[in-house]
Amino acid sequence: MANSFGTMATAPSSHGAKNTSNPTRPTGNGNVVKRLQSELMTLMTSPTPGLSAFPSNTDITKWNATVTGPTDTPYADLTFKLTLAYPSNYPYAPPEVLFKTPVYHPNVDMSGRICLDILKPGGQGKEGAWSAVLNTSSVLLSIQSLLGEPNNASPLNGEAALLWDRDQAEYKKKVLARHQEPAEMEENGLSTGF
Amino acid sequence: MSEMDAARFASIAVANLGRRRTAAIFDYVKSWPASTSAFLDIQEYLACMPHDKVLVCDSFIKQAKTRLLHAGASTTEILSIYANVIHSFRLLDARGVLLEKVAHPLRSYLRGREDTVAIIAASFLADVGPDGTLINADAEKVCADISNEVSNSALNAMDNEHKTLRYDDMDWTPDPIDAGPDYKASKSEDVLAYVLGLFDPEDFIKEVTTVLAQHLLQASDPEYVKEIRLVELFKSRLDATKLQAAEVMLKDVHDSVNLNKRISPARDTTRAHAEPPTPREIQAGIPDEGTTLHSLYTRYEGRMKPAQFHAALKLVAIKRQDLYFAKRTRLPPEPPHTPIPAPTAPKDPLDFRVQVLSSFFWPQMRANDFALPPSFQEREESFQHAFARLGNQRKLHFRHALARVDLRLELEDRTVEQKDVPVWRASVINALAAPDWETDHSETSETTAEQLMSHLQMDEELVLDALAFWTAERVLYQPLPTSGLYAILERLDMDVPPPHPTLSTHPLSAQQQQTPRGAADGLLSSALVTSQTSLLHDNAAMFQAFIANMLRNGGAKEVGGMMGITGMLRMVLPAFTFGEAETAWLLEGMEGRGEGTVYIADGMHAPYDRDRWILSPYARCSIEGAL
Repeated sequence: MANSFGTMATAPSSHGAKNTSNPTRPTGNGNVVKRLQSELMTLMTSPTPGLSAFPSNTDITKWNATVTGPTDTPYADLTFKLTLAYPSNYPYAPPEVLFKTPVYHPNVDMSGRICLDILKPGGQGKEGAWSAVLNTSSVLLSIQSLLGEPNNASPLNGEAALLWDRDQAEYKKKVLARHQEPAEMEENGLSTGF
Repeated sequence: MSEMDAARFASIAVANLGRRRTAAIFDYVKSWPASTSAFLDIQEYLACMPHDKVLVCDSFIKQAKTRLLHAGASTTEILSIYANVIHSFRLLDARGVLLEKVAHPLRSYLRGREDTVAIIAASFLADVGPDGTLINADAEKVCADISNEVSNSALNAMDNEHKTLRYDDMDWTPDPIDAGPDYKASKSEDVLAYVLGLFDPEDFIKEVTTVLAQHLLQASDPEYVKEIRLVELFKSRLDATKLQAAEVMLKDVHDSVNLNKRISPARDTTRAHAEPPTPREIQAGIPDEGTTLHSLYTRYEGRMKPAQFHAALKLVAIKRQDLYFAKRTRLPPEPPHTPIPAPTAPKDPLDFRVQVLSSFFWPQMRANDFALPPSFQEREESFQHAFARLGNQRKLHFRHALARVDLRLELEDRTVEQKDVPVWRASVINALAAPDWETDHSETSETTAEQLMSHLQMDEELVLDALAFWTAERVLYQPLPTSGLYAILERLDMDVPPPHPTLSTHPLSAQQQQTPRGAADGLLSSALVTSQTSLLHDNAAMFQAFIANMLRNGGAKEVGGMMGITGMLRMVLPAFTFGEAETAWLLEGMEGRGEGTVYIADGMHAPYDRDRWILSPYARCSIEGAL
């Protein structure tokens, strides 16, 4: 008993994610919840401009996120809604990220799936680049920069990839035609999150 | 008249008396235990008219509803009635069926009161005098009946809780035939079990930890006997694993006592329990299930040598397979108690003691910092070095606002001694007494609160508290009543009481001097632990950031409800322990600052559920604007 006291008393008390016996936590094991709670705390206390994310409901492994389009790109001043679903072995596997806002982009398909290397499982023998040092904030930041710098080598939307290189003005028109702001989406009966 | 008729008349008489008694049953409960005989009457009535049990219960519930369960009754009052109900209805029906029925409305009402948990926790830790009255307790915050129950209760009352699981239990009886569906078969439900059962144990433990922290910091008993007993009591009745924080807190204060002894060994001779334990004390300390020599000795370490201890133990205990059990024999009467006279003059003029607490397990404390009187600084540093030398890796942060001092002020015509005052008061009086820092006020020793604040880097509330305290103690005075200047009252005749418009007799002015003292005393000295309110205010910005992000990403939400703002905050942020009223306050703040973020639903932003938000202005909030 004395021994365990000693180690606990000296344990760092850096974040408040101590209460693992929270009754309203239905899924996920303790480590995922702890990690997500501390990520959330970092996001809230040192926010990145243009990015925002928050758990969607009482299940802390499902988050909604909001990203603004980078300036000086066809996506400037647009607001995009995303969902993030964290697997039970997060952070050893990437979260599943989807655009809920319709996006016209070479690396995003019609149902919002994103082709981005860091969103695929990494490690030896795998083509993805996910790593446990990445987190929600870095994922959203990568997606935000992907909007301005598409990877036209492996497009999901071939037409967009061609148009990006050929005619930026036409491209922007297509982007705006496809885009819906969150308020419009709700009016149209589309969901902006989980 | 036949014998049968006589019996019928008797039973009619008993029933009538019982009905009369029942009409005033609430008064009997209130005056328990003086009304025991009235309950015996009712008991007899119920014995001959078993079907009237419902009547008795209903009548009590009705009386309680009109006379007790409303906003006019204080929570302590309801709690003490609740305790009386438990006693009196157990007399009526030892199996607790009636009690279960009548206690239900009281319990659900008590659950709705916000301060119930805090009052119960405080009552558990309150000091009870030998005659059953409370010592130093606020009658509004402590329920004397519960405190008495605590001091009289046995530690192992819950040992037989799982009786139904014991197959060799020869005393087993089936549940009573008229028991309700939620009847519990547990036999050991005393008042404490009922009181503890009122709430979710987790809420209760949280509250108890806060009260216990405050109590431990102010406790003067270096052995913490009472506090240990209480934690053991909670452990026997609540989930022992959840009381880890309480145990760590106890261990911290214990270790601190030892630490101070090791760092400055010269001065622990004044300890209250320094004399060796008597054999009787050792016998009382042996638990029923036996204990090892070593674990028993650790309790008396420092009070007697191992060899002596072994001898004393042999006298009172028998050894079976390495465990010691208390002997059941009577001990010879002890010699009269002769306390060792405490040495009069301590060697160090300043008896400096430090309590080392594990911040992780203690509730948040007051963290106001300010300059201490000189010489404290070096003592702190030397303590820090000594602490590190003892092989401690832990980082020390001194919480000055929690420190307390005994001090003696030598004034021209008198000395003023004050024990156990918060150190900020000492800092202020020291700054006033040694005005070497006052360059701009070289010819006078008068100071304003603002000067003190900037000199001591102390918060305004603390400076004002200290000034009010010393003024009430007639150590400071204001030479010109409205100037805001304070000076030391070296001789009592320097302060001429201001001429009173109608009466200027001395006793009256003395009385006036006394009044602010009580007020000032209650103001700050008791609030060692950061209150929930200030916790909310300190973290408001962070909570509001959470709310802003939640609404931005999750869309419009209600304040309450499972998926409402409050519920979500509690879920993602364990530090958020507040309710809907506090959330509404945070939202008001966000809106009031005109951040252009939160809009009260006016139908435009919340087309979903109009009826709902009309009930409360913050029923739905949504967030807009650029990120």
